[in-house]
Amino acid sequence: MSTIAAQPYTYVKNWKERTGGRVFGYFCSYFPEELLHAAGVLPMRILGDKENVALADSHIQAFICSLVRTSLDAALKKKLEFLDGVVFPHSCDSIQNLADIWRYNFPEQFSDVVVLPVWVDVPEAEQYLAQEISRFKSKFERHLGRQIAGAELSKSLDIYNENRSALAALYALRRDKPNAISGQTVLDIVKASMYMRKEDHTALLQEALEELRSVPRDDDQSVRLVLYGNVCDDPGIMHLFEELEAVVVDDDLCTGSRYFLHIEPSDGDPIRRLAQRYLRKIPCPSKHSSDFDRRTYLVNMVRQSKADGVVILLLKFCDPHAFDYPDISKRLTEDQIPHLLIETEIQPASIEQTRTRLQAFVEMLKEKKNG
Amino acid sequence: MGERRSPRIHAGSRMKEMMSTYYLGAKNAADNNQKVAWITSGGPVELLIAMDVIPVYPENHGAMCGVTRMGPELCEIAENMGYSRDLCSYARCDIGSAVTGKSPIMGLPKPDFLLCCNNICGTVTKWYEVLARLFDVPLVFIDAPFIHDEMTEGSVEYVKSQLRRGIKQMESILGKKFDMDRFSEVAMLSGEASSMWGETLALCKNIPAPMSAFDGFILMAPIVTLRGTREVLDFYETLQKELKERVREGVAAVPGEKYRLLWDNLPIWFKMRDLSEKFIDLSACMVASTYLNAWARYDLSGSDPVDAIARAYASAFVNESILHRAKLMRDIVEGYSVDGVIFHSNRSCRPYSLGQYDIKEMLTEWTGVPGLIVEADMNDERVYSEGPVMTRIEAFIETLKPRREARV
Ligand code: SF4
Ligand code: SF4
Repeated sequence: MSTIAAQPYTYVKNWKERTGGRVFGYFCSYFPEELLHAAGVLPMRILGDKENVALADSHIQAFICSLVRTSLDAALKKKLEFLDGVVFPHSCDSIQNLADIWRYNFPEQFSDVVVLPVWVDVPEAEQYLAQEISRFKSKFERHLGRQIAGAELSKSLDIYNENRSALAALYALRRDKPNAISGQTVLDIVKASMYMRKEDHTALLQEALEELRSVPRDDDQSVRLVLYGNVCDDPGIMHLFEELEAVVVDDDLCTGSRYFLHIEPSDGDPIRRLAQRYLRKIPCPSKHSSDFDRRTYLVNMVRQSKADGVVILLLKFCDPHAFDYPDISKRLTEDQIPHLLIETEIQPASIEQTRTRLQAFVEMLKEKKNG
Repeated sequence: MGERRSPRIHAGSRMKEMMSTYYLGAKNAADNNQKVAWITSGGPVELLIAMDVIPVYPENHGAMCGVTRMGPELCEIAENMGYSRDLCSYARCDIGSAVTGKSPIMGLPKPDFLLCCNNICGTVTKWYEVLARLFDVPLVFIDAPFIHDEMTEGSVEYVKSQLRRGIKQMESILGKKFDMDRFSEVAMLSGEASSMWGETLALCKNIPAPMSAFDGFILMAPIVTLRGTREVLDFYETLQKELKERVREGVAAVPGEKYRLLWDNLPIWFKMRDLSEKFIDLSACMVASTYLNAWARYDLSGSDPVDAIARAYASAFVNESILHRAKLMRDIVEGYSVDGVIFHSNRSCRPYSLGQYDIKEMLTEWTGVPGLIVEADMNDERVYSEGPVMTRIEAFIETLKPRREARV
């Protein structure tokens, strides 16, 4: 799975050749990809590009996050030509406008936006989202020239839930035995699930879980970290943890647990279930919720995973996260949880400064831990 | 080189009085037993007016901070609290002012509750979440789904349910009943004010234009903050009279007007005077701005006020696709005989700025009118470099010459 995570496009292109199936790109953890799956389409998450921006500069200003900038750049460089469609959820302002820019520049490509509500925990949001999903479904069906049966969608929901349970099991195992698996591998596994048909991924993951279960528990005294933030797709940073002998025990990342946590009840109208799933998942900061308190959620995660500190990884120019950060930091301080903010970009930058800061942070935690 | 100032608009002093009275009223609200709510600039203020709550606009206050060049100082306060320098400078100024009471008017009165509608951006959602925690007051939230293609009936229903929810929430906060008839009346007044504002702006279709967008940026305060009240109607009536008089007499906002421009995005508040003078020197009049027009689009006719408000606010200018925005700009270019478009690529406002490159291309393709993109920020002077902006504006106007001459 690490190979797939490192070379996702190669995997996807091979899949396409092997099966003759279609592939759609999507953004964020909010697109109801189950619908694509139900129609036999492979949903593939677009997570930016590691190359420096060249062509997107004449469409997107430099003060927009690099996920948005490099993704459009990859498309303009024709790196994503193997995609049969690109779909967007409504999440942040930048993704919202990217959708319009994309659709204007690639008019031939099938594309649509599922405009999710921003307020996720009012009853009227569910009604609205169910209608919006149905609207997309009809358009998608017209494009495919075939209907998606309720039973097909239900089946996909079950397949997705199974995958989510398996990923949740992986996280539980890691909390228990963080030395058994590296932080990088865990993120690779989650990432691979964004490029594979979920049933294929679940099968591989089950094997990995079996192996992990047999690894003995080792009571070592490594510094235990929780990762918090948006996208973390930089192996450079993950390797630093290993280098510094700190273990990652849990995360609240949009390329980590926020992608898969929350599993829906397994009966009822599939469209409703789908709407519920995206409204009840752990909300991303771009969503508004009256009841969910991200600060408490994070503190609880730290307590439950017996972490020593939190590393906050924020992509530069990400408004939703940047607005939440000060109060999160304040709360962690009040609860005496050490934390470190690291600003990231999608394109790998020099890691030296990060290494120095992370090293100091981990050293401090070590001292604190071992007295 | 002629006069470096536009002739003075007399209605301006009346507006100053109105705004001072309004801010004074807001400041003294507690003493007068009145409630204050902070509201976003695209929020359905009619709800508040119908409930006799004084609306206060952090964005308008932010503009004041910008004009008086307090932006950097207030932003820094927020930055020291951990708010990134990359966040909207209105939000940073507001947070900076809220925690210190600093601002040209010594801060805004504390809110009893907040009303946030995300029809202008996702920033306000996050900003008002911050305010709700900071002041520990209730937040009335109205989620208006973005319109990429068409407004769906499902979306209208969704917004309506939230308006009804908001009304209930306000009833419980204020301990009094919501008066639907009053609301209807306020919505009607507000709709009238919006169309009057539109008519006022449309006077700039005249050649020469009697008012420039620089005047407009100042004269827009009442439509932003006080729509739904009668005094706004009276005010814009007076303003219209004055401008019509100018049109009759051929008085130009920019003496010797040669070029007619459209401004996209917010003003650069801290550079208003310099820019205005620059354009006068260049004989170029900013005859319209998408920002000004944003408040001319609230169609509040219709018998059911909740329905009318839902539809009007959900289709706010920046709540629709960039294609839609480009089409509206095309209408302005054509209707106002615009020669060139200046896009303020505003670092603070991502939803308004992201897409300008493509809009520029669309406009040139459809109308032949060229555009210029200048990088700046509405409030944060620290990211603004004067030299390049001025040089590029000069060069741009120079390129308009041949076209203009061909037309005359
Ligand atoms: S990283 Fe932040 S700004 Fe970028 S797409 Fe994600 S939510 Fe939006
Ligand atoms: S991001 Fe833009 S629309 Fe939103 S508050 Fe800031 S300036 Fe206004």
